[in-house]
Amino acid sequence: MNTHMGDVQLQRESAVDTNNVEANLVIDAQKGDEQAFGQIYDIWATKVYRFIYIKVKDAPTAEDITSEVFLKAWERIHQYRPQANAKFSTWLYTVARNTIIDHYRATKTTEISFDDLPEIADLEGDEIYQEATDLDKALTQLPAEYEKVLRLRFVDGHSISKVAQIVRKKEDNVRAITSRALKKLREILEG
Amino acid sequence: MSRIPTDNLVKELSILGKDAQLSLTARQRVRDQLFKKMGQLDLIDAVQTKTEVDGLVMPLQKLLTIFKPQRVSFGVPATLGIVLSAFALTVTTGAFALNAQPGAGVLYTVRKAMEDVQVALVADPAKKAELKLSIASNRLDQLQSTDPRVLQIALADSRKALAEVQTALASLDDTEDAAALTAKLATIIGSQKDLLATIVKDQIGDETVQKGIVELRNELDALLPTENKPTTSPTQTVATAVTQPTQTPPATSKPTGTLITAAGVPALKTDQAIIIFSNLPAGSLSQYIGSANVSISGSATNTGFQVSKVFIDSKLVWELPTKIEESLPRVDGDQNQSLR
Repeated sequence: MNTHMGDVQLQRESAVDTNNVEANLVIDAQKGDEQAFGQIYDIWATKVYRFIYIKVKDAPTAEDITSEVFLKAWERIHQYRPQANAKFSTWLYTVARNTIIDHYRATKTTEISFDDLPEIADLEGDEIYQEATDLDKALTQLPAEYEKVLRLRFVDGHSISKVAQIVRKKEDNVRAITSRALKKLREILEG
Repeated sequence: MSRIPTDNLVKELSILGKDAQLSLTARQRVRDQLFKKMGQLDLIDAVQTKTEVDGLVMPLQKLLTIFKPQRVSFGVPATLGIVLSAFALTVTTGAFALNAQPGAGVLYTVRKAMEDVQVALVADPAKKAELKLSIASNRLDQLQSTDPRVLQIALADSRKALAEVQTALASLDDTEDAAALTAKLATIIGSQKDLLATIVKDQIGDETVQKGIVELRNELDALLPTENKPTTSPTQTVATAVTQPTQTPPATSKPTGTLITAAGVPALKTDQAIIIFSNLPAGSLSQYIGSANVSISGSATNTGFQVSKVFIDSKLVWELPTKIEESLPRVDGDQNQSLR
């Protein structure tokens, strides 16, 4: 019990230290310190990128938008004011959301919906995206062979020939399994 | 379960894959892109807050601060290409800064700043000297302008660039690198002195330009290796070279050997020496290069051997066109005095 309480206490202290470090970095960046902003980028880049990728589902586009997000953050960082209910990350994700919207308006490639995008406040924890969770859950409900082929093909990004090699089936079989698996997955998701 | 668009399930599934994670390489790539753009913003601000009269709007130290290597915790530095391309892609200056000429105002000063950064980021002394030589050669090329104002700037910048080359070469140890660069410099100087003689013809009456040319010629001669230095006073060389193209010894000679190139310029290799044809540009006589039993006629002058005829196996294969001789600048009488 004491050990557990001690661990929790350590975690809290660590979180406070981390928040203090980040707060100081933001203050320095607001004074024009590019190195400090570089450290802010190092802390948040992967999380911001994932936030963007979940929406755009294209790696090069997500990279470009990530760069734009941080550039805007640099230009406007003097506007950020720390508040109890609006941490720096909240502000950063808001910039990211707006940048995604601007991107689609500029490119006019597709209609977007932010209905499924989690509330930004939810991202303060482990950034668990409901979209990803639901999809992962649906995959586990598929027959084992279907799940394996879909993960190898579309999650791991292997070619059909490579998937055929791994599962030891002919390529035509793999194509047929893929088609049936996607259909089944759709039924589960729409069910 | 929340509603997920199923019309493109394949794309949806990618959010579970590696593309949804920012790899180290991609993170550094985005970082480089970001800091390049941030540097451009600073440069734009600096350019827009200064006038062209002031020239360079940002000292080199600040430039290096902006573009110093940005490292992730795993030690991946930004590349020199990122630093240099940042100048080429600034919103206000565009790619034109790279080729900006004297008289182009801020663009030209940005170009010079970019060259300074280039030199500052090269550590190897021989490579640094070679880069400075290349920059000096570019400056000397700018002497081809007919605009006296541009020419004045080009003269000043050429002299400054050549002084830096001199310092850089002097700091090199006596190595193959130094010898090769010195030979390259001699070739550049040779062709530039011909150019300066042409400028004399075009700029007669502009005393400031003439004075600058004479001073530059003096400095060019000082930079030549000892064996290439002219034996007469440099101030006389300009006048005498154009009024009396043939200096002692005036007699024609017919050295014989193999036709080669030396630093791109045609030359005759005999048993005793290599005779460089100072009156021909690089690439001349290319169809005869490598031929043996070549003899030449011409005249030795203070600026080198001026070939007039080339024979292979005693057969005339090439003769200096008379049109070239007529285009040699002529300075007569009182105009000559202003050069002394």
